[in-house]
Formats: sequence, C-alpha cells, structure tokens
Amino acid sequence: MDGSATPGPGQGHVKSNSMIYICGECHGENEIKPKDAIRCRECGYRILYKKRCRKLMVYDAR
Amino acid sequence: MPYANQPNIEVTELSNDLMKFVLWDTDLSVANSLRRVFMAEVPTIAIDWVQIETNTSVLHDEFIAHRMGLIPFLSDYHVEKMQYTRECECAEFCDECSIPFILQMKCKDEATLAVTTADLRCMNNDTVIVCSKKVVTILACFQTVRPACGKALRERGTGREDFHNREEILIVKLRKGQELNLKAYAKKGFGKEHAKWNPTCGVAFEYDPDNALRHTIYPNVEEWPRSDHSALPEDSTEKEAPFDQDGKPNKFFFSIEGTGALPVQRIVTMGIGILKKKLEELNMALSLELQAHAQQQ
Repeated sequence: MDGSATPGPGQGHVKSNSMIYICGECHGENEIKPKDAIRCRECGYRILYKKRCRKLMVYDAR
Repeated sequence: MPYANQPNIEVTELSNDLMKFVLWDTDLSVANSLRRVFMAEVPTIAIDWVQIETNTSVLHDEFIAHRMGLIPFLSDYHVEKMQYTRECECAEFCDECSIPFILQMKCKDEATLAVTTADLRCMNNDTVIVCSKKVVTILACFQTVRPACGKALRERGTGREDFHNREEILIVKLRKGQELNLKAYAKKGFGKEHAKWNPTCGVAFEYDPDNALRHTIYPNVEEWPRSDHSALPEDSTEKEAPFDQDGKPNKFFFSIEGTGALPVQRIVTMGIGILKKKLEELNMALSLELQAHAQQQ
C-alpha cells in the first residue's frame, strides 16, 4: 500500500531528474531541472503548476 | 456491600437512532466504561482505502478520500461477520475483510452535477435473486453494505416518519467536463482507531442532576439550566441539593444517538458484549499467570 501522494522528482519521466510543469499564464509545458529558474520559457510567467501524476494514487481515507 | 453487583436498567426512550436509559446501583467507573465502549469500541464499516484514477473536480484527492472515509455505512448485517484486516489471513483484500466500491461520474451537462452516496456502487453484490420483487429489495437492503443515508435508511424497515426526510450525502459537485473515477475499499474498524468508525454521534452521560456531591461548581448559579432528571421540587428556588458529604454517584442517565451505521439498540448490546469479552480475556490471562506463578514456587 503506497500512502504517499507526492511523486518523487523525475518520476515517470524519460531521462534525468527534470519535470514538466505547466505555465499559469500561457498553459504551455515547461521542462525544468533542479536549480533552473522557475520561469516559463515562452512568456516568462513565474507561476508554474505541477502536472497530475499519471500512476494511480492510493490514499488512506483518514 | 453497597451494590452487591446487582445493577438495574430502565429504557425510557427507544428508536433506531436514539436510546435513553437509566442505570443505577452500579459504580461511576462501570457506567463510564460503558459510555466509552459505545463510542470507541463498537465496530462499524467505513471506507479506508481509496484509489483515485481521475479527479478533475475542484477538490483535491486527499480531500475526496477523507470525505469518502467519513460516510457512514449500514453495518448491522455485515460487521459481526467481517474480519479486521489486521486479523485476516489474506495478503491485502478479500471478501472476509473488505468491501469494494467504485464511483465513476462525469458531468456532461451545463448544469452542476452533484455526486452523492447514491452514485457509489458496491462491487460484490451477493444479492440473491428471488422471484418476488419485494423479497429482492428486502434481501438487498439487508445484505449489501450501503451508505447509511437516504433510500437505504428509509428501507431499513422502520415506520418512523423522519426516515423519509433522509437525504443522500453529497461527496463533491462537478461542473461540465469534470470527472471523478475512484475505487475504494470499506473495512471494519472501531472509533479508537479513527472517529469515522464511531457508531454514535451524541452520547449524553449524567449523574447527580442536583449536584449534591459537588463534583462541579456552578460558575453562574442563576444561568444554570435545570436538569431533566432533577429531583428538586418544580417550584423550588434552590438550584442545588444540599451537600451530601458521604454520597456516591449511583444513578446514571444515558442518552445515545447513533449515526445510522447501527441501530442504537445494537450499539448498546454490542458494547456490553465487548466489555464482557475484555473482562473474560483478562480473567483468562490472570489464571494463566497464576498457574505460571504457582509452578515457579
């Protein structure tokens, strides 16, 4: 039983420890590595959202 | 012998969701342990494991999982036949210790869709198909574990009026395009582990209604409400009975309200049974201990 809800860095993604985030302004996808600036490559907006984890998540109903 | 182990009980009010009784000629500690057992150790069934496939609703996964857990389930038929997961022989889930449910809803209309307990589907419907339609519904309401609300409570078979007003419990609201797909397992548990398994909501426990024992101090005598069980005369200006220095609490007024998971009568009988079982286990352990002790000497 996996109660943890937070996916680790790079989980489910192809290579290295980069993650894909979604821009809050232009909704474009951004691939960001640790220590990269938190900034959209397209529009420069600084609020990025984490994508929903693709694997099934299990929660304790507590 | 003050009580000589002969307690008395009188039920003053009884329905599926409320029971009032008076217990006397027993000790405060016994009465209090009954109260605690009713709340914390009478088992019920509640969702404990939630696997969320898709959730595009406004509530996050943990929020929905928590709401699922808090739904009361009609446990009267199943709970005593079920195993606790920790005592069950299976590796993860089996019919002995868990009941699977699924919830698959998507809002396709402009109007907001309310996802309620009525949309929760039990996956092991072992309902017997009998020719007469009426028999089927009776069996269905007895043998499937369903949320203790709305239709399910109405079908429990009591003639009480208020059962007709029971509504289904709202889980989440979806707007157009939002979707919620999940699988959940309901498990047997008790209130000591998590409050979602508590079969009671309000448990009132009163003794010494006129404060003759001075176990409490009235902070504002004028505003202190008169107890329903008061023995003071109706027109008395006194709020308290005179101090009884050597008195002991002897009469206990209980009022137990159920969540609907179990009829209150069952909560009380099961609770007393659980307390008895605990004492029997203690007795067994003690006799083994005494035997071991005797052999050492």
